[in-house]
Amino acid sequence: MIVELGIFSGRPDPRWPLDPGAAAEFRALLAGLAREDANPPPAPGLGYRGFTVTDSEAVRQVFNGRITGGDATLADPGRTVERWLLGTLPPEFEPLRPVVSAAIDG
Amino acid sequence: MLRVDVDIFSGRPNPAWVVTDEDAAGALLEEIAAVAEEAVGLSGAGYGGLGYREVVISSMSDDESWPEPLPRTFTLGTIGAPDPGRSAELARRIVADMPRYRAFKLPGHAETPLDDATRDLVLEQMDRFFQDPPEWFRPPLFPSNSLRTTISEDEPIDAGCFYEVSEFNPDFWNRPEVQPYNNCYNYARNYRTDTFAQPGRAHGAQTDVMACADVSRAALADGLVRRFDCLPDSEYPRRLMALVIWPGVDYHWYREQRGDFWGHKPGSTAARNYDNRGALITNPETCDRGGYTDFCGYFYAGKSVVIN
Repeated sequence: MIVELGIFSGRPDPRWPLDPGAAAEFRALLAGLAREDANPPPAPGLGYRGFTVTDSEAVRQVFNGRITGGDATLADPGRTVERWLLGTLPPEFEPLRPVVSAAIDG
Repeated sequence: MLRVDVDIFSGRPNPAWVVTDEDAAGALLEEIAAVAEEAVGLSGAGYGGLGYREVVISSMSDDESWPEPLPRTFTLGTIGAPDPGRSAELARRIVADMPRYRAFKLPGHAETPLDDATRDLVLEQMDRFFQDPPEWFRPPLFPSNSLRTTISEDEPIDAGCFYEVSEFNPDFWNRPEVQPYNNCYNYARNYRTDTFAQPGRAHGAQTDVMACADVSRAALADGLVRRFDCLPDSEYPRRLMALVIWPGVDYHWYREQRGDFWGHKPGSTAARNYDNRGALITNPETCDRGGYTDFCGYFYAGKSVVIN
C-alpha cells in the first residue's frame, strides 16, 4: 500500500509505503466509516489536497472528510483518516507535518 | 521560374522581373537556402516606410521545385532578416542582374522599365538604406497559427518585446497519460516531458532551496530570461511565465493565455484557469495562491528553452 501526500505543485509529491500492519489498520479505519451519497469534493487548488492511497484493490482519495475511489464514498467528518495518514509521514518529510496539520484543522 | 519584386516605390509600379532561366533560378534558390536562417525574412516583416524596403522573391507556380527551408514567398535585403548585412549582400547581387530579364514583359514595365537607370537607382537606394538602416518596428509576421497571438509589450515598460499567448487548451493536459506526469513548470513552459520537469534539472542546475532567487536561477539555467529582456523572433513562440514561491516548501508557475487570463497546473492535478477561490486568474500577483505567498516575477520562455 502506497500513500502519496498531495501538496506540491512543482516538486514531486511525497510518497511512502505502508507496512502490512499499517495497511490493515487503514482498512479497519475505513470499515468503520459510514457511506455517503454526496458528491465528491471539488478539485483542490494550490497547497494541501489530501492523500492518495493505492493498493491492489483501489486508488482512494482522502480529503476534506471524505474518502472516494473505493466501492463507495465514505464520510469521515472528524477527518480521523487524514490525521492517521499524517501520522505515518516519514521523518524526511517532517517539515510538512505542521503545514498539513494546520490545513486539516484550519 | 521565380519572380523578383523590389519594394521601393509608392506611386510607380515597383521594379519586377521573372528569372526565366530554370538553371539560374535553381542555383540562386539553393544559394539562398544555404543561408536562409541568417539572410531570409518574411514578406512585410521588415521596414514598411517610404523608400527602399525589401526585395521579395516568390514562386511563379504552386508545383515548382523549391528548397525546403524557403517559404514560397520570402524577402532579401531586409532589416527583418536575422543578419540584414548578409541579406543585403544577396539582394544586391540579384538586383544587379535586373536588366538581363527585361525580355519577359510584365505590366509594370511601361512605367518602370528594367533598364540600367532603374537598376542603378535601386542599388544606390539600397546602399544608402543599409549604410544607416532606419529604426523601424512593426509586429513580426509568423506562419499562421489560429491558436496563438503575438503580444507587443508596451506596459508597464515599452521595451519593444514580443511574446505569444495561446488558446487555453486544458484538454491537452488533463488526460490520464499526461496529467500525472507533467507539472506547473511543464504547463507554463508549454512543453510536455512526462518527467514532472524541474527548473534547472536539464542543465545540472536544480535547487532544493525553495526561494525566489534560487528557483529563478535554476530556471534561467534552462534558458528562460527575465521579462523585458526581449527574445528575438527566432525564439517564436515565446511564453510569458510567472513564478511564485511557497517559502521553504515549493514553487509554482503560471502562463499567460489568450484572452487576458492565466492558466496553471498545480502539480499532478488538472490544468485550470482559476485560483484557490475559484476565480478566473487575471493577475498572478493578486490571485489566491494559498501558501505560495512570494511573487518572484515574470519570465519569457522561447522555443529553445529545454526542460526536463
